[in-house]
Amino acid sequence: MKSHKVTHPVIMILVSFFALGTISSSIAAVQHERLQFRNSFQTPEEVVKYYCARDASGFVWSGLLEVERRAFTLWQELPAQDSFYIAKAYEIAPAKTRANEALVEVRYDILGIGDAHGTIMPAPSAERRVTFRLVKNEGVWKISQPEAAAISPVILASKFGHPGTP
Amino acid sequence: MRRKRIKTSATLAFLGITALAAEVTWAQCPPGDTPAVNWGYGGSDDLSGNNEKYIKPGQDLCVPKESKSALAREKYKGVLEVYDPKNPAAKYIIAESALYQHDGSSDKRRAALEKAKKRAAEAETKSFCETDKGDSRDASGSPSAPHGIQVPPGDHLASPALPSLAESRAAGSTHNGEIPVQPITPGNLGSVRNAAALAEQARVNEFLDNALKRRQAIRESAEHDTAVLSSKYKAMDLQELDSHYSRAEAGLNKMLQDLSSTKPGQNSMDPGELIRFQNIYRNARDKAAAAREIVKESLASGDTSKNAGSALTKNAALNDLFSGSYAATSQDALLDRLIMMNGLDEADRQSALARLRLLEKQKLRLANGKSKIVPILHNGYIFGAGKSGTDCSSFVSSALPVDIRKGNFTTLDLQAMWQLNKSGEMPKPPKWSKEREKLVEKTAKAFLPVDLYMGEKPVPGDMLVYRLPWKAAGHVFLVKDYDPKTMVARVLEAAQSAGTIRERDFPLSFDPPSHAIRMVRPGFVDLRLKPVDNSVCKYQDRRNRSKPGARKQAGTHEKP
Repeated sequence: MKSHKVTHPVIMILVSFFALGTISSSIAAVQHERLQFRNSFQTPEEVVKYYCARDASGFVWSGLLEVERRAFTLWQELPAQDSFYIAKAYEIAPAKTRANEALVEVRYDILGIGDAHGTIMPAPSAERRVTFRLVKNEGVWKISQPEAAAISPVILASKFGHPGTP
Repeated sequence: MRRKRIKTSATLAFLGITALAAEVTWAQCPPGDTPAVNWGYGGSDDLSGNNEKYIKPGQDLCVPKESKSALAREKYKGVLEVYDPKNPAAKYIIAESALYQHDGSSDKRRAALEKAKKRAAEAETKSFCETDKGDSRDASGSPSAPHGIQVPPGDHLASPALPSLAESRAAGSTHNGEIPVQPITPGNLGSVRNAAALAEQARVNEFLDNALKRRQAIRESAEHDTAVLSSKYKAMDLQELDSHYSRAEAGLNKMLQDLSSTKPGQNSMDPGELIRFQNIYRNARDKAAAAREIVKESLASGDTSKNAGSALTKNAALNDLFSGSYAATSQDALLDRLIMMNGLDEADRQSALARLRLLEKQKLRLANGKSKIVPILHNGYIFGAGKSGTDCSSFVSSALPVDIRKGNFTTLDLQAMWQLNKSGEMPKPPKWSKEREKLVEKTAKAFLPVDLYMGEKPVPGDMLVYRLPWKAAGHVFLVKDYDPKTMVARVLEAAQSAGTIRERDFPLSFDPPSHAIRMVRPGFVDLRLKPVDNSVCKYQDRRNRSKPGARKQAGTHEKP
């Protein structure tokens, strides 16, 4: 029993080491969602998928662009926060569509709250759910809610590539 | 007969209590969340606009279980996020002390409300009595306004050298009962205080004025840089634009490779800035590629503007992509400048680089161990947070816009500085890197922590920092003025997306002005920059006045 207790942390360290190696190599090969300036998406999920993928690489935190705001949202201003949630993964649920409106829920597995300096605050909850409301505007699905002032960036730990991210 | 009356009264009283008790119901909250009732104050935590909402006393609320995490309880005592059960989307922040939470007894709720009313009535009487003393406000230097806060007067004027009137009176006649000293009458003490206040006001005005001028100077520099770079592009036709955007895409890609191959902490750039600029360069590269795509489409479709020049303005899609409607200090404008600079041929590029104002030459250590100096365009940022020699008004003005805070001191850092100064210990959590912790500790020495919740008042020049521990959102205001009677601060803040500073009135309490007790809304810390040269900044403006040309020199490389 005693040896099991000793062995267990060693195994954990080795597993962590290999896991870190995997993460490092995946960071090197990570693909960021490239900037798009035309909204050619057919479904509300695709719009949310683009937004979340851009957000995951820190593009919402570092500054969403005007071309994106106009193409993909109905916001009057750009989101602006100095910190972000750090997520391990996220999942986009199928849209609930009614006429020209749609609700798309995104569920995040949250690791913490942090900034670009690697400072990490534990999150009060391991799960975060954000419901995006989209409106079909001139034949194009655009995010209308949450509003820009109310939304917080959520980066993906594996994509952001900062040593401070867990 | 008498006994019967008593019995009847007792029965009626019992029935009355029972009836009252029956009326008391708690909100229906989802399992795990705690029903609660508000007796004091509260409101929405949306500080960016004018849609702040108040919670009326007596309103039913629910406290989500996440809001009562150990984290929130440990470090940020008494602040909870709650929501309205009738409209769960309506969320508020509220001090726990002003919230009565359901513990299974409806009687307790009523008792708690009664207790709250009693407390309010007592405070009203106390407040009235204090006000009635007449000269207590001047004497203590701490206004005991009828609608003021509930705590003892503090040293809110940051003038510990000035004695209170009571102290002066006590010391005025004799010292230790033996040595006579010059009596200080209320009249001449007032003059001294007035002079000190005027001098302080002048200093603060100059400080605020300089902070605003810095932002204006940065905006003007950004506009200048945009004009310098765009002059070459104005007359280009589509073919020329194609070659320039192609060169820009390649140049930005190379630059991005350099930035990405460096290790944070081994460069002259702050790690936070490095990671942010990597994204800016990625976006610039992609925007250049998007521009090329538009140009190619236009050329393929036989766009007539290819032979006419000024394609940027004539081509609708390009015009839309490079819309000049955003401020020169916006992220989009910075991207456009990066594309334009990298698209120029070498001779034009060198010529432009010599004329740009918002440009920093950064030394990067690359993956192969070699160092490289790269020119980085920016929007008026301080590279390498905590750089010595920064002007104090620049330091403060740089904390206002979100974009600058991302790469320098975030609201989390600023809040930690306040807590460190207040308690003597670095708050943990959060988990800090060693370098970051040292930097925050060093920078904290520049500030005095003002505790609004203990009755200290903001003064002009203070930084009001808002941050809730469980949210990735924060805000920074610079206090321009504060009225302790109304508890309304006149604040300066960065106007979103516009690259400018705006002024607005900001109530520090959600309580109506008629309330006897007015609590400061939760989530705020007040940082007061020490009015002397300190570990992070210097009051350079006064020196510059005595050194002609010093300001001009600073203007060539504008920093916030």
